[in-house]
Amino acid sequence: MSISIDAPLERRNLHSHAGAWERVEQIVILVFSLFFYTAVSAVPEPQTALQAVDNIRAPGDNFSFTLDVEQQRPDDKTRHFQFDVKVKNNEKSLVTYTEPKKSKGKRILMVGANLWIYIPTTRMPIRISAQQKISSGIANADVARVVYSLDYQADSIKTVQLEDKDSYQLSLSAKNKGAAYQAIELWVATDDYQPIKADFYTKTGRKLKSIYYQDYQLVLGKKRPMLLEVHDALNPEDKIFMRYSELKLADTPDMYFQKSYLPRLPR
Amino acid sequence: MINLSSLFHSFPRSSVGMQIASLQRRVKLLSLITFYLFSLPTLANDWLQSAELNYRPRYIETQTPLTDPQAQLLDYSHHQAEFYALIKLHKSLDKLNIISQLRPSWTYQQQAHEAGFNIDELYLDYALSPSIFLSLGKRNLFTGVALGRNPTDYLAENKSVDSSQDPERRRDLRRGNYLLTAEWYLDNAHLSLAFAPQFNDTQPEKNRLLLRYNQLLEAWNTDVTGFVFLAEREGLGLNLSTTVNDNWVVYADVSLRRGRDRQLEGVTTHHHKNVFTDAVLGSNYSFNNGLGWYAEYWYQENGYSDSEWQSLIDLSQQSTAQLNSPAHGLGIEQLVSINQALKPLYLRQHYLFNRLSYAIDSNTETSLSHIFNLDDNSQLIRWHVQRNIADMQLRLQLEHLAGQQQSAFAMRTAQTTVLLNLNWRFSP
Repeated sequence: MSISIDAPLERRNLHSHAGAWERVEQIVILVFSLFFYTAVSAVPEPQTALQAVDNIRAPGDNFSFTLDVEQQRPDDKTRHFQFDVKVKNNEKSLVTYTEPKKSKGKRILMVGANLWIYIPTTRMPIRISAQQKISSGIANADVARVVYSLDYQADSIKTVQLEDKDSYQLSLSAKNKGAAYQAIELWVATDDYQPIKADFYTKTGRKLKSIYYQDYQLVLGKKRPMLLEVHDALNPEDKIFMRYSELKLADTPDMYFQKSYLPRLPR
Repeated sequence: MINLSSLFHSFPRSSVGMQIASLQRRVKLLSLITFYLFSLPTLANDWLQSAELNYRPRYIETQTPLTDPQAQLLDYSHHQAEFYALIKLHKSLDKLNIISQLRPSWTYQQQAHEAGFNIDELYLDYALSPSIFLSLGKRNLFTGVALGRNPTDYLAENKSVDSSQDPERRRDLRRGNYLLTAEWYLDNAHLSLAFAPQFNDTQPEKNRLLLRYNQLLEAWNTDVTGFVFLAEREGLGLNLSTTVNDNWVVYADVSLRRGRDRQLEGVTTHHHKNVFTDAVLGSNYSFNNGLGWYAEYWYQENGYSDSEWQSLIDLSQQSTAQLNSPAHGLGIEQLVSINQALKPLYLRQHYLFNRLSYAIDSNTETSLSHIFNLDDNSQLIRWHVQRNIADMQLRLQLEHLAGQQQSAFAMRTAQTTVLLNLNWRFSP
């Protein structure tokens, strides 16, 4: 995004016979204008900032990780899921349930905006929508997708204060109809683009959830958030924690990302 | 079956030699049992993919349909119970896989017990290359994208399924066909061929060949599958499923078949077509609060039309009238034949299917299904709630069929069914 600056454009003859105060005033205005221009021009293009965020979330194009999801309910009942996630070319994800025991072997495949679920007892991969839930507060796409730029475009960026810190606020909108959310507001640190917080919205502008990016650790050469805290706007008393581990670069065979191949995948 | 209690009976006192021989036999048997018990965990680890036990008692409120006025031909038992185990086995030997699904069962109905042992699947699967596979044996192949009905599930059209099971899993609980299959995985595509030969009484259907090609059209978020089915009644099929937006998926399961499979003896028909359409158009919508909604329209041209249905009713009434005449035997014979023809659940041409499902909490879910027969306004309503308790699942299901006396759903003896399902699942 570029911002035009109305700096004083009139050329004035500095060698005129104007008084010293006038010269000082001109110099001060010039210095402030230059400073202001430099500061504004440091705000990156929104898409560049989004790409920088994605580079923090995803260590490469092909990788895998383990994701533990813990859902704490107000009735003190805690629900735990564990997933093995494999990502190919950043746009294909294969999610395998490893816990709880009753869901073991269940799989979610995401290819672009296409999503299928495979349940061993039904044996047929079934096409599902991105908004279908794994559990309340967690959509399939939350687990299967790590990066934003595949499904969302960054429309604008601005510098704001978030919890007394300078941050960029990025406004994202869905690129395709299959994206899990219609709009996302994303706050990132100004110095290193580390995501801090994201709010997710429906078509009608209703807020669905907020995610807080926490526990930054040096993994595969970069500081990456290994814990996501989800605040579900529909069930505000629920607390959901998504912990990432065993993040590593891994090239999974192409075949694994085919819908028809799901029943053939190793146990 | 080994009677374990006999092992511990007292020895006969006839002679010491006999006692020693008997003791040797028992020691041998006990050793064998011990060996199997100890090797079971290894077997489970090596072969067992999953196992589950189900106990399904049900209470049925019955009615006497038009086609059985003396309540003699059909089943009117109020209490039924079924116990079955579902064992899935998988052994991988490098490129060769041995896959099986076993389903021993026990049923109780009308004070009679029956035990059965179904081998749903037992086949060898060989990887010729990472993308080419051959299989041989008994296999339960699934095709079709719809939830309520699958007109393109060609190889399973003569296989019985338990309609009281969840639509998502009822196809898993059926017997497979003896098949030779070849599959080839391409980039975003899948080509498969399945041949089911005729085997005397084991597989009486004439030779069948199913060719299937699936392609993902990624740019359009759409899956397309085309079918060519060569059999006694040939078919051409198409499956489509597409993501409309972040909440909504729509799909179609369409088949064109040559000829009909409905019994038409004695029924006046005006259908003299060669090709019949069977189609399911459906959608699945996920609400943001977690509510899921399936809606489907079913059109089966193969089903009885209004005039055919009326003719069937007339035939039934004529047969009933014959019961009190010298042609009593003929009347009974005709009613048996009519009841045989009315066995399928979906007899007519136009239906609407709706299902709402909702997860109440992390361990409890419920659903409400409604099947509405647009031809005669008869309907089926099914509600269920299920709760997971550790490795157990407890399910309560209520089903009610409603309609006027001459409607399709009123032709069934079961009017209201209360079903309980206790399920215990185990996976190594």
